Amino acid sequence: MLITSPGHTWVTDLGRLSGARSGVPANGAMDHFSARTANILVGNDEAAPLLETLAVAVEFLAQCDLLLAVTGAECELRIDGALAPLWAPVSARAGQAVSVGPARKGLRSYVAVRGSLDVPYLLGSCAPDTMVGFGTRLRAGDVLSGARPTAPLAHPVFRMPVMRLPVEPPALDDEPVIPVTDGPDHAEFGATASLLYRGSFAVSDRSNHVGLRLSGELPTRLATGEVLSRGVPIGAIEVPSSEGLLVLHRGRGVTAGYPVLAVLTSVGLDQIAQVRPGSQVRFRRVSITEARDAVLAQHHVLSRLRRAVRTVLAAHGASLEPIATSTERELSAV
Amino acid sequence: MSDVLLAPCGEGALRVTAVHADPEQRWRCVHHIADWLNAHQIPGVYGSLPTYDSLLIEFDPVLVTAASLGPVIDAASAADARPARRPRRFVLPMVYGGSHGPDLEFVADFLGLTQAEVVDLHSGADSTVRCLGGPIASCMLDGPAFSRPIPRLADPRLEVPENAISVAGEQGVVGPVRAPSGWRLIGLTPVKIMDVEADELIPYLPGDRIRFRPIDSSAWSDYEGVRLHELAEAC
Repeated sequence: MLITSPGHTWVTDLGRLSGARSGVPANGAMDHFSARTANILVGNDEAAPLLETLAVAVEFLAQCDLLLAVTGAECELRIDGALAPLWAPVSARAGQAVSVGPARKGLRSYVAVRGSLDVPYLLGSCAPDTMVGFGTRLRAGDVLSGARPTAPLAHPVFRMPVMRLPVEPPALDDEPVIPVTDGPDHAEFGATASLLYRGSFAVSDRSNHVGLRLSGELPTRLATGEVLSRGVPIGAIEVPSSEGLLVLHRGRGVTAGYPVLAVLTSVGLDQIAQVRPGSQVRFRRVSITEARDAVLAQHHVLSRLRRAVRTVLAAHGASLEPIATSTERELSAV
Repeated sequence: MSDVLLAPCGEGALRVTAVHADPEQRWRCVHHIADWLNAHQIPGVYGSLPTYDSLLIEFDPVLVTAASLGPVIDAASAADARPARRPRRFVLPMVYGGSHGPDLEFVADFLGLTQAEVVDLHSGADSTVRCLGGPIASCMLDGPAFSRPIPRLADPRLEVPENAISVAGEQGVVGPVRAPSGWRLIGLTPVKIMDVEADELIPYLPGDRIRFRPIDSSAWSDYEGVRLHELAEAC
């Protein structure tokens, strides 16, 4: 892939999930469901490296026949100018220009190509870490290698509704309602905790992969006293000052000294990753059981999709040999 | 189980808080559970993050629930304590005060001490590494034997340099990376704390000890290029 217009794009994956013990934030794709789906649609391991692009368009030239999938924000995917579907495997011939975006609704698009992307790894992940200064950000003229050449899937089945792959893009609402569970320090806010579920909150433009700042009518901590630094979950909602709520996302520092009012569910984290600064959100209280049921439902959707993609790829004679990630290749080289 | 409290943090994390009367025992308890979990690699458990008196366990909610971790934590607590490795000690040269530590003056005034007395307290004894913390792999220490807790900045700095040494509350910290901070910055070390090329980003673990050694700012260049990894010594 030759990058012709980089937009605001990084190579990422599902992050350093086991890094917390060494004080290292998870980072990685902010909308996990979209990122996992994109990789599954092209037959990759769901944790394979892929592109995460923010709001503006990214364009590249296919240097070999590619199988790719674009998920996440609502945008236009064009192959040599022709519109192609999102949330589906799409072929680009060698020499064709691929353009993704800009986002019309939502904020982050994910672009997976069948195969891998050869990029540096840190502690088992290629996800950028802005604190360490690690990661691969696309620049015009970059060549990304690692994609597995895949002959065009021109077979008519891809256009037949019966064979449509079983994936339903999540809704991108103008004022999304984000599911959260009560946090471990919920009681410290007394009756004011319910304010979280009453009004709507505006997302500040001082929001990023570390956290989102939201303003609105705020719950207040009634307890006083210093909190010793402790591990803070991804998705934690804190009220650090009278200026607003802080929703910690996947780039969050692993410890903090503020009480945790509520925690976004996995589905909620994906949803808020697509919210643009300036938008309004609301929060909806769910139980841990409901939150886990939603994760299990997603898990089944993705398992079904994985099987369906394998069937389709096999029908096209695409090799189903597992695709090694670049860390695995490094290890086998040793 | 009577000596820890469990509090779910969403469907994918659990906070374990130790409730012993003695802070040292609380710290040992949560680090012991974390070491045990790390050694046993429970399927679906990503990892755990022990700090002072609590432990955050993160897991894949498809495979694990907070309830299913209860017996695991019981088993971990009941197991014999066996530290992952022998503690190590690092003697860290640092320049106090002035442009390197703009809050040294505040800390001295707040405690009614001279700056030299604050330096003596801060560098006069080993501090135990209690945990690794935010924003990334910070070395969280017991604070010096000050007479009272140090208040944080009301208006946090948007950026402090890498390898900064600060105090707040009854805690001390060495921050390997450039980051925003509300802690009181009392000095900087010329030693490189983080090494992205090394197998471990940072060389310290909870239970290790740090001793600060005051140096003159004119000696800064003598230590440039030195990595903390090279300064490890056995306790």
